[in-house]
Amino acid sequence: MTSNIPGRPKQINDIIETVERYDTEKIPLLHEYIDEQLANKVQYDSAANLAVLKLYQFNPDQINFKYISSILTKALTALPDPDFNLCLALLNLDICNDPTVSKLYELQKALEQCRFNDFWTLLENEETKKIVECCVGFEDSIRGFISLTIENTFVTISKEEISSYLNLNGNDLDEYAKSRNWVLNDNVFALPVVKENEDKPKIVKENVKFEQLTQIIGYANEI
Amino acid sequence: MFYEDINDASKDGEIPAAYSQDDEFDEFQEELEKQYKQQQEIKIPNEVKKFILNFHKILVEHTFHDLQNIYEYSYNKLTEQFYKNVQWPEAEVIAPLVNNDAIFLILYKELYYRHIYAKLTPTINDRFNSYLNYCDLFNYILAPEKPVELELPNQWLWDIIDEFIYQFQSFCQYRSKVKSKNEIELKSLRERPDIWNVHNVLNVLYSLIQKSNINEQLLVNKNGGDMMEAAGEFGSKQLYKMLGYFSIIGLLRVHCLLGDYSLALKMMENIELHTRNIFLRVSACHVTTYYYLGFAYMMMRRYSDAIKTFTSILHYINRIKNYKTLSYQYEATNKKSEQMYALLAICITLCPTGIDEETHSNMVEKYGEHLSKMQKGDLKVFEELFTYACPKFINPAVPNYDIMENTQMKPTIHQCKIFIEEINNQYLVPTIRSYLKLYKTLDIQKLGEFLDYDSIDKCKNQLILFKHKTRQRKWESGELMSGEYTQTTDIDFYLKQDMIHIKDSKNVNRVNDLYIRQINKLEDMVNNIKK
Repeated sequence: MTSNIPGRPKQINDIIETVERYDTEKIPLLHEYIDEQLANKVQYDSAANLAVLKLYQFNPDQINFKYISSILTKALTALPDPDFNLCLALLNLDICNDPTVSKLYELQKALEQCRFNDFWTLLENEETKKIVECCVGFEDSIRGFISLTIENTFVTISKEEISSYLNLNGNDLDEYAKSRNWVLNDNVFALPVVKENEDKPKIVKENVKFEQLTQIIGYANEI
Repeated sequence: MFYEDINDASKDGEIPAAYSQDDEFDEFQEELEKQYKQQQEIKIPNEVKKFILNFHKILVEHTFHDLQNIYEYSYNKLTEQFYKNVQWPEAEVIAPLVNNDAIFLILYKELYYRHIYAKLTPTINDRFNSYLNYCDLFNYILAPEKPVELELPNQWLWDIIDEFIYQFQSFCQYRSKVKSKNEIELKSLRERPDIWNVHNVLNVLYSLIQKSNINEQLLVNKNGGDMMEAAGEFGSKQLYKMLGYFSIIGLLRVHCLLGDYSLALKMMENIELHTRNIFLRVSACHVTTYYYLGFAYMMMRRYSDAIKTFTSILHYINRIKNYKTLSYQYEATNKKSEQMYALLAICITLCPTGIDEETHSNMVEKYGEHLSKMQKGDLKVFEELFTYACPKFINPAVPNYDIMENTQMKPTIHQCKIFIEEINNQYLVPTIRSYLKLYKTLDIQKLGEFLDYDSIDKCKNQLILFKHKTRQRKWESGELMSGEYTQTTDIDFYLKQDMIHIKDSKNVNRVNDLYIRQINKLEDMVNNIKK
């Protein structure tokens, strides 16, 4: 979501941060940059990808469906940030009816509604698999989002359950659990304590800002 | 003396009535038109003539501070009196009065077309000519190598940018109604794709920002430094500085209309809304800024930031309501405020938050019924409020004029669909919150019964979703775009396998607002008594 990606090449930055972002001649460069993101050679860069969609929006003759689906796939890996919806907002009704886009939209809805089991079932579909294939490490990124959401919700969770959420079994799951510091006890994982799942009363405080009081302090001056 | 002469000349130019009514002679068209104009000139009421001469005099003599009165008072009064349902005299007609003064005529035409857009129905020629006039105006300001000698009231400068974008938006909608166009109109549209072209519109706004060095100035404002150096020759002039700032807000708006919410927020990166800001003295600008900012936050699923934005501006509008200024701005502000209450109601449903008493009771008064239906997950109501309160989205690309179809609603339907799908993901959040509120611990099975679910899995699903959706980015400090993830609801819980543990929540009574308001009231009373 941040606009200034530290690893962003200067060449790209000069396009995104200036009015060159509206120049159709820059599309090939930005396409290459998307390819690099897909290959995980550079960091995901939502601002650059949105700039591509905006170029499509202004110049419908430049629309390239391959890159639309790449951008949407990459946007899924940004969850819980709503990048996918931000991409959709730059497309239009007709593009959203495209079968590839619809398939990605299905995936997004499953994830947004936390129907993780459904997500993995959808991903078994050959065509869908093909769409997301271009994105290196796609499944791992999604697992990252699922784990984060689970960790925020649960203190303890059964092994069986988490295995189905993550679509991981046996050794793979054990390795993964280790990497995230989950401790197994009697087929139940204890998850690390974070702000979201700790047992601490939530205090809704009221703060008075100094600015709120300026007027009142002003009265004192008049006396 | 000069003015007297002009008046006399127009009286001399009276045309025999029979001549001008005769329209059989096509070859005399030009002649007729000339006569028509002369006739029009005679028709100009004396007050209006005086107004034009006075307005021109100010421009010639550079006594710009008198423009405020011309713009905010005389012009509106005369419109009300003479041009309520008809257009002002055409520029060609009044040109002799002002010695064909180019900049005067450009400014006059800006008002002339704005009036047509506001009170009448603009024809395709009006739309084209108004655009061309804006080009003249911005060229006049941007092209010279030295800043131009012109000052306009801030309100007027804001209205120029505001109207420029409004007419662009209106044109985009107009040209997508392909089915309702006749051949001549379609021909003109095909011939001139440059008119109101999105690139040209953006170019104007970006150029104004660049010319005025406004971003550099805002940075100096924020971080300190040499203001004169940052502002430069152009930026230190009020005209450029204000146009630059208003263009930033203009871009915030244009990008929202195009559905590019993150870029919209990015435009605001150097603006600090939370500190006092001289630019906000133009209240219409203030309202527009907050409306689009709040809307962009809402579409980025940052409901708590949207709520904060809306409540702060609604509070402001309530305060200035009593200083009712101009009717046309007043109505526009009123409409925006109604829309913002609707958006606030949507956001509050999705992210229950305590807000100040006054705004809350206004909201309930206007949308009480909607609120309770939305809390029950009625998507139709979300849709209704969204369509009512959203900006008029546009398609920036030139439509295909060969397909006889009206597509002007498509962008709005598209944005609405995305939003409703998002709500559809989380419409149960308020319901679950209302159950959790009642317990300290709750078996998931029991929640399943409440929700009428047959499986525990589905129920767990909803709980994970609750956590996912109520965890949002929230602005803490710095750029408006930045934000950290926090749990935004007042009810929070965690799961130990199949048992829900609801966290204690300690709500401190909110007394600040009340005390501050009462102290202010008391002070007012004391002052009144003293008088």
